Amino acid sequence: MTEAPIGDFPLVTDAETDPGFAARIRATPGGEGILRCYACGTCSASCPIRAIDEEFNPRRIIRLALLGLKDEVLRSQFIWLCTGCFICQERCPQDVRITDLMMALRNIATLEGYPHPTLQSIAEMLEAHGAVLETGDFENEKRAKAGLPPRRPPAKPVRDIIEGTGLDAKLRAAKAKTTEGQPAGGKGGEP
Amino acid sequence: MAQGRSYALFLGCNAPVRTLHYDVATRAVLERLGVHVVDLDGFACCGYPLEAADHLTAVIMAARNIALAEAQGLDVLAICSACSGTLLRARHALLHDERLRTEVNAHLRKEHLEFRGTAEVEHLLRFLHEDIGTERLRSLVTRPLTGWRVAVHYGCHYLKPSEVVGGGDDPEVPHTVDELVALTGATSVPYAERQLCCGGGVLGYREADSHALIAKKLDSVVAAGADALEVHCAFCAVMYDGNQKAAERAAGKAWNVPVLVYPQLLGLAMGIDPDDLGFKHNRVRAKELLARLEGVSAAR
Amino acid sequence: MTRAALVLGGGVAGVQAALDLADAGYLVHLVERSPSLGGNMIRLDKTFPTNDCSACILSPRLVEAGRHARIHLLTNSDLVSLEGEAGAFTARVVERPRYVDMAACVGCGECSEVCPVKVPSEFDLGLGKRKAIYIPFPQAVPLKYVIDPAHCLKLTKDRCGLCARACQAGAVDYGARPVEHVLDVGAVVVATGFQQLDASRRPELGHGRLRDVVTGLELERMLSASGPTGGKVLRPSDGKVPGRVAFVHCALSRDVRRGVAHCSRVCCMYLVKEAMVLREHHPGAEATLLHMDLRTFGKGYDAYVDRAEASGITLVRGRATEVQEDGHGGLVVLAEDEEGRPVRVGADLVVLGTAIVPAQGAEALAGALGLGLDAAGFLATGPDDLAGLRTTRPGVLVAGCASGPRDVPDSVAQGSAAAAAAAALLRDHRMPVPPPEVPVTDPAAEPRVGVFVCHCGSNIAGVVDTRAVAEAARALPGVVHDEENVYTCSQDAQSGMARTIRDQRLNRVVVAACSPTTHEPLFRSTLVAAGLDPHLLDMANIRNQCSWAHSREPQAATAKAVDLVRASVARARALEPLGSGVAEVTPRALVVGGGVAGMAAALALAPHVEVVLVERADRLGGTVRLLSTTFPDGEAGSDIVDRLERAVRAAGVRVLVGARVDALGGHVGGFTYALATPDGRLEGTAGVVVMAVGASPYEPAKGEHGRGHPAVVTNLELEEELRERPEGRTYAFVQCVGSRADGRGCSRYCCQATLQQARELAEAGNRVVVLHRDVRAYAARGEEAYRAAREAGVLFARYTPERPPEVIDVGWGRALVRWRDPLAGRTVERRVDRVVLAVGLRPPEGLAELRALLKLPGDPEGFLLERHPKLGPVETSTEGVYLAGACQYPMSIPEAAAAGAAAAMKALGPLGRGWVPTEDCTAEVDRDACIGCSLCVRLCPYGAISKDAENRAAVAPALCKACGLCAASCPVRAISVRHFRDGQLVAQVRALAGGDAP
Repeated sequence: MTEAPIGDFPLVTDAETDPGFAARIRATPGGEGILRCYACGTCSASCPIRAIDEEFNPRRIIRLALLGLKDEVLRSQFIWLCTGCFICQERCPQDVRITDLMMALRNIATLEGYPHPTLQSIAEMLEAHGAVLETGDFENEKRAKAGLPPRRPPAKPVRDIIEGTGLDAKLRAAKAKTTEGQPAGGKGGEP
Repeated sequence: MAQGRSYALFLGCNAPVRTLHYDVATRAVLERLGVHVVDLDGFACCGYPLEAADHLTAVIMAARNIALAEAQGLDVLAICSACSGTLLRARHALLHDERLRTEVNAHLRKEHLEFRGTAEVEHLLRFLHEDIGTERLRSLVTRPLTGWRVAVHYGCHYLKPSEVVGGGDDPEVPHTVDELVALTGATSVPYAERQLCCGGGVLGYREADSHALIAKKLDSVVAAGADALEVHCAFCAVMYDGNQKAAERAAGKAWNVPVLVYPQLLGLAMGIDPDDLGFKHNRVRAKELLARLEGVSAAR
Repeated sequence: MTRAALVLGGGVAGVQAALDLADAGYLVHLVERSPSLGGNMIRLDKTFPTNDCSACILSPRLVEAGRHARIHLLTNSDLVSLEGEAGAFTARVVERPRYVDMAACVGCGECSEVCPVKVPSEFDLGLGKRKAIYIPFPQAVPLKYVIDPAHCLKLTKDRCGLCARACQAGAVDYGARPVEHVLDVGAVVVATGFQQLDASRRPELGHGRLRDVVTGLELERMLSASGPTGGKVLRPSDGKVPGRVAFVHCALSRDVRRGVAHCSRVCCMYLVKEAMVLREHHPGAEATLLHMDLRTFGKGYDAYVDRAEASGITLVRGRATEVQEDGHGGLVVLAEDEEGRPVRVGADLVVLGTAIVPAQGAEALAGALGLGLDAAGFLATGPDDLAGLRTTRPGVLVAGCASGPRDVPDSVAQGSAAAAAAAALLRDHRMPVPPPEVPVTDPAAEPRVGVFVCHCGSNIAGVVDTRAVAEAARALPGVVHDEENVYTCSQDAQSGMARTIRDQRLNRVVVAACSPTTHEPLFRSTLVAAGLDPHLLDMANIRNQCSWAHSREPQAATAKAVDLVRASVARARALEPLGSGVAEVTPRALVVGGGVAGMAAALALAPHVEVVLVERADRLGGTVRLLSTTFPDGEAGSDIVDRLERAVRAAGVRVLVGARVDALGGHVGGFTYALATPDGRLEGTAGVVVMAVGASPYEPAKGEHGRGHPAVVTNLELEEELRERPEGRTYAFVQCVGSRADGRGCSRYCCQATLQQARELAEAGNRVVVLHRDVRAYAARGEEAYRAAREAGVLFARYTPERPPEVIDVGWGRALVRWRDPLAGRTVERRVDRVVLAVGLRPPEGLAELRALLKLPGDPEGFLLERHPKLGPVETSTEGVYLAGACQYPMSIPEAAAAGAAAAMKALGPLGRGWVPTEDCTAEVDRDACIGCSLCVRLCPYGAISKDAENRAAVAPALCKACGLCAASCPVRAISVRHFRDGQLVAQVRALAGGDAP
């Protein structure tokens, strides 16, 4: 009954798409503008990452999301490649707010259990040190030598916040899944 | 932000540890300007690294820092653009979204804090340009950096999103930092990759991409014949200064471009000794550049 | 006291409105803020889709407006206040001083020669310079100098004063003061046009920073032969001709952040045109266009783009994002194409299609006159105003770009339509217009020929040695005067010609210039003004047929021009005065077709004459009646046409439904008709006929995009389903079914209609995908509707004709749609409950027969052919027959309503006057020579010849179109066409061959 697909591209059927994905993104902070996109290509043509890394194409990511290819997007490496420079956001003629949108996609990925391992490391550092870099005795000695006052960011309030929003639990759950051999988002990098 | 107010100095996570020269030079210059700053112990990470994980968590972290300053009747002066950008964006969102503000304050209440929106948040260079003013700054220059060719790196979070952090600069054709550099006597040189991001945002996710962006930037800076790259963001300093060697290895070339934070340039022009501006903490040595200062009298 | 109309703005729309009103007998004050008429259109080099020279088609109108007896021209003037109400306004117009006495100034230019001050020329958009005392451009109307008070040394510093000394006519008057005019006005038409949005709002495109980035209008000035670079396109940076040119579409339009949200509607076409024209000027130049949706929706526009592509321009689908310097003095334009690949276009010159925004001062003007503005700052049109011609203040109308971006044909139609609305308010103030008196010239007098050789700027003079042509002409027998003009069509050359004719007692005029189709009527009226019969003119086409065709062979072209002039002179000597007749016009209008356009026409005619509206269906309203939802407000089509019908009947129009046109013949002033109505046969005469028979939806063939499958419907059939308010279903729209293929153009209404239907469905909780070839949301609020549809969740996917979407049966009455998504790199499948085919519009059944009754030509698609695609959109080439609405070409409801009113206004010319001039160059039978063979009777395509009682051929002059078929075929040469007699033609041929005509 069904015939061969037009042209050269792999087929994607209804079963592989989530019709609610775009609406879900739209309801996520940062993702409110996704439906406004008219695929002009300005974001991609402006993107500094796109210019040096073929895997990252913001216009394509938006298109995949609008088509409902949820798993492909959320489990991908590419949603983690945006450097957050906001050029696309400034230039986008339809105010999609693409940088914010990339963050929203990452938030959804984290929520669904696919955070990038770097996020887990960041959260651990913050909960332990109140900052992404340890600022302890060693660091403060150097500061003193430079004539600078000590710095000791408080870790507890930060831990409370990360636990209070449920983020901590989400990250731990995802980490547990990874150690069990389940796929997680992205690949490691240096914090 | 009017003069005569007091500021809480927000250093962020990187500056206190990895870019001590930024901390040192900032204090030296502010002291010379008679600006009083307070170090608040309670300050913690601005929240930027967690934006990718959860928007609400990141906003609460930012709001907490602002609320701490508000509780002391202080405004926030940030030296790292990633911090100032994050704090300003959070502040903007909280001022325009009542539901968000209520939710965030519910979390802050546990620490007996409340975000009210009464404190201003400013990046150090916006403060210098708008509140101190180029006229006053120029009048304090005793040792103009004549002949110094400086490539200005505006960075991303200093300019964008323009409706939140823009401060009078069009992100496509900004001018404020060029003016700040010009008043020191140095020349801001045009170069092709002026708008290019440092890649700090992707460092933790694909290092190779960061290195490629650093390479593109420094190639362009060298091709333009600049003596130094100016930055005013701790993260950009970490990338171009701290990671220059690593990027050189990845690219198989050498740039050896000194990376100066703006207060170092301003401080030198004001006659402050390079040792008092943290130059020993710059990873890429600025020896040749500083040598030009020798023998130049401090007379007007 | 006679009230007049006030037209504010002397661009193409304003001039159209003014001329239509004046021709119909109304007094018009035409107020223009700059020193000359012409607006933005006169800045253009060529106009799409005919690539006519803009000045050539526009300047006759400007000259006519400048010298029309019933148009009071106030240039350099501002409308400062408007008090009162519709029908009785008091307008205060302040005429700013020119510091040059217009009565004394002869336009010689001596003043400008000596002026020491040079400033950037506003007309040339800063690309060229002008003096402080200047004329904005050579064909300015009025052609009088003006001093710029901000830069004149005398006026600012009391120094200099050279111009006053140089002026031999004593026309300079430094003490001139503003003059206030208080005018009694019944209606106002605001036609203040547009300006281009500052392109530096997107600094990364480089305008204002990189010298070789220019806007489209700036390029037009360079392309113009009379422009700052003499028609050469030169890079501003180094003055060299660019080898590669990039054209950027949507440079600031459709951009909610830094530009304007709306589509500027004309840029897709003008950028393609500029690419073509630039390559005509500089063959070998590469042209690349970077575009988004290609909005070339008008009649002939898609075919134009196809021709352009075939001629070698390159189209890239991707929004130009940044213009960088390439480090070697050139530029690079960056974008990404549809497949997601980076695009880098090297260019020596970049042309930006920047946005159309309200003219400078539009906001202040609206404030002063109490007019509402829309979100984009254009004049808002009032509620219940279908055609979009009424501002929010009653009695103040709007035409052209003042209410939103529009191309020339739509601006012209609006100019006429707004005039119709003004005419309704001024009904009691129409002045009688007596037929003009055509001078009588003695046919026996010895011919005294004057030869006027035109330079046409550099169009002719750049190739042909006009001096040599004039000198050669002088030596010809009969020639007593020769001269050269830079622009013979300009106002000063025309007045000069009239003077010369009188002074030199010329009785034959040869103009060696462009084509007669361009300016013959203009020169003929000049002959009349000079006291000569208008038919004593011959034109030698030394431009289109000489300098343009042989632009690379100046010597041969000059020799040919000399030959052409010789032939022309020979004919001129043999010409005879023909006088001029008039025919009476029956004060009745027949409107054929009772849809939106027909009803709008009837409504606009009803205040002035008897109107008979005939409709073959049993209800008025046409196809619009069937629509349950219309763009942009979702109003039901039936509500719209019911409203119109009530107005039509209340206005006293005689409405005949269920009636057919059985017979239709005759000529302007006296058309005869026979209608088959339910109550019997009705015969009558009408002075004019308006054809508004609409268009029919295309019925897709079985299997076409799945037609025949239960799930597949047309968008019209969907209207029924929409009334049931479906929820939770899945729809796929397929656009362009029956359009944009097989010689058919864009059907223009369907993108907007689909946006309306799709959005309603999506907002009601249905899942919708629209498969399109371009989203042509060009109309007012179109882009807004497109964005709203996307925000409602409608997905848009583009297909190409080579790879159309597939519709596959999956049983249970459902179908599956499959399309190729190159950006995602996938072929996407979606099960749908409905496939909706957005069908095109075709000429209605029976149009060909109807056309044949009046010998009206059709275009290649079978729609009615308009007189001129730009300046004659609602007229046909048959006088007295007008057209409106979709029978000309598919169009939207507001466009059809405006076209109907425009057609009515054109018709009010003859109807208002009560007479029309008759064709004078008609065929004539030599009764003695005629042998009664009837060959001519059979051959005449217009049925103008019949046999009289004595079996001789007799020509009905009112029907004769002077085609010459009869004269060419008569075996005994008994029939000849006046003005094209054998003797005249033979003289021409002999002279061409080198001999001298006897």
